[in-house]
Amino acid sequence: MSRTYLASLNAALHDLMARDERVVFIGEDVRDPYGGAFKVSKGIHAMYPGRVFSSPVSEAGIVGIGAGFAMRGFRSIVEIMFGDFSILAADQLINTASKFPLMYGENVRVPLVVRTPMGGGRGYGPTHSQSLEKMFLGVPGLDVVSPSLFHDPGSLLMEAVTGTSRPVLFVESKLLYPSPLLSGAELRTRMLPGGRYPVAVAENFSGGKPDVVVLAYGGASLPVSKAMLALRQEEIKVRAFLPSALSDPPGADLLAELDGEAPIVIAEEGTESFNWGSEIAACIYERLLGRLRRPVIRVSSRNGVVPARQDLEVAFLLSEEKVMNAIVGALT
Amino acid sequence: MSELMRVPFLGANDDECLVSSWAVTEGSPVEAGQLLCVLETTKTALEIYAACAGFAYPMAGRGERVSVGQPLCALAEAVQADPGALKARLANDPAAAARPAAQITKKAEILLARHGLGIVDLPPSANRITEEVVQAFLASRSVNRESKPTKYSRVGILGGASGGGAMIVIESLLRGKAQQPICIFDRDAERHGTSVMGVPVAGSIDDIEDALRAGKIEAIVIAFNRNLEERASAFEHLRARGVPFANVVDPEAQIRSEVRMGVGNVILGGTYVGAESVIGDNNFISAGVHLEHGNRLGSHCGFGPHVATSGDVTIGDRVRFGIGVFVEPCLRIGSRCVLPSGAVLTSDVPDGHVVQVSYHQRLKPI
Repeated sequence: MSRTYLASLNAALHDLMARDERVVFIGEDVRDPYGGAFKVSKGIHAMYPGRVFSSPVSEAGIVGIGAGFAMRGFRSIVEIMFGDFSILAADQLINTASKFPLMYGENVRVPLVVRTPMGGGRGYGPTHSQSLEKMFLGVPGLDVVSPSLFHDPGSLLMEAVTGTSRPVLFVESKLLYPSPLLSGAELRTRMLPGGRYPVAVAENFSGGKPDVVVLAYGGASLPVSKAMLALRQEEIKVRAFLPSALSDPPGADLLAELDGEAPIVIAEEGTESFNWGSEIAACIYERLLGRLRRPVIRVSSRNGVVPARQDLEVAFLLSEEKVMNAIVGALT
Repeated sequence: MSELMRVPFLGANDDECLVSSWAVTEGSPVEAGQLLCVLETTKTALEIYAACAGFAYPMAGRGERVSVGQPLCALAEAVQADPGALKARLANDPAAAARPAAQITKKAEILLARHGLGIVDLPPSANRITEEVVQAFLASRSVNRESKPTKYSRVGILGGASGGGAMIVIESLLRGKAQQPICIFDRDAERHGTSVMGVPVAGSIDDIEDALRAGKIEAIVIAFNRNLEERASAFEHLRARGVPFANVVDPEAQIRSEVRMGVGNVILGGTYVGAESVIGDNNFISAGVHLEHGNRLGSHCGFGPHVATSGDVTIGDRVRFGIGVFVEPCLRIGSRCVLPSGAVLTSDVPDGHVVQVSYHQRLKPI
């Protein structure tokens, strides 16, 4: 039984606190025994009370303070309880933390990691279920990183906290927290070589070429992996590429892997328009236009607000069924 | 099929919850999507809706604490006389809601659709229809099957070094990827040591067997075609000595489905051989000849360009066609006949006959 997404993150937080006294952690309701709304930070307050701060309800405040700590030599980890609230910290993150290293050069470093869970599917309603990371893509100086079930989230978090001197928005997924990480037993998994934030590659077949290629990240890895398992029985061979650094355009390695005969499906949890997939598709067309047999297919949540009622929410969000239909549709 | 609804995953905060209220009573009919009950977690009141239509049988009481995965409500197909038995059965049987695997995989379905077929076109089978099954079926009835007229790739050419026969056979061989012209054997000793289109004239007919033994060539094709009797006897002479013959089929020739062919035939560019035709051995068929479906052609025949036969025509051995000969359907042309240029056949031709064409044509100075 492999470790859960949440357990991997929790272990990494403990590790980070233990190894480096400069690491500080700020979030709402993080004091033990509660340990945070989703329990990701459970236990670190008890062990390192001088460096774990439970804050008032002020996202702008805690990201600002986190940035300040970071500028003064600490390594800050700030937890925003629901990704929907990250908008409240947008000014601090975009206009301050991300810009200072660019404006003041090497004199100013901001090793700040802002962690937050995005995504719906729990009936939490329109303002607690969004996937808003797309709003932070394309911000100069800000890395947006999101681990999928095929990555080790803890390793990515460690890289973000220790390996960077500029801010990282670290996007987790509520639905994925209790899920066991996919170790390669069910679906063949490998990482593309190179890069601090690797691209995971997963396949539901062995040998031969894929029928369809899927691009996805983060929380979408849950419906995508379920779709791949279901389609294995239908003999449809799917190869999925899951980048972890969303703010990087697709590298030459990834584009080379996409240069084949298989149609491409991009799956993401955010709403339909002006999202990660739009940019990736544009990069694909720029490089591979004459070599594609058909247009890139994008599948996502609908445009609108996430309903609270379960059946409406299921119909609204990205789902295993929608991913399967997109994949089968790519072949017919 | 009765369905069992269990307490769903409640979020990272809660492994269990309170059954706050029921919206249905024992045995009440519900539609799919209808509200069954409300569960209360630490953060929210969660409404549970019926997954399908049926008769509802709650399996937890109001005010009871239930765990994730615990049976919550049974949805029966019909009103139950003994609800307890149904609940017990569903609670113990994890496969109660399992659906049977479809009889055909999606991939197989997609493959059939691409060829304009459906499941009904396949022979009936008790097993699940997979991609492999469909591929085998398509191969067996394929109308796009690639014909392989010859297995020999290193080809020696007999004759035609003067007069153009060797040249056009070599040119055809050079266009294809499967075969290679190696050398020419010609009776004219003056030609030995020269070459045609880069292919050397290596010797005469007597040198063929040595070349075969040495592995220089794998098979022979006869390129001279003015004299069909000579062509036939050279073929029979070499065949009797065990020399293999290759077919030369131009890449631009169209050989349709279910065509059977002997050996040593030359078929040049633009020629069409219709479906289910049978061709014998050692025929020389020029460019642009049209043999329609169901034709039966013997051996050692020679065709000028643009001969056209209709369907189901039978042609014997050693028949000489000029240019632009037209043959109506279902006719029989016997062996050793001569059909001069421009002939239009509307009746059978017995063995050993020449068709005398009469239309008036003369040359007049301008």
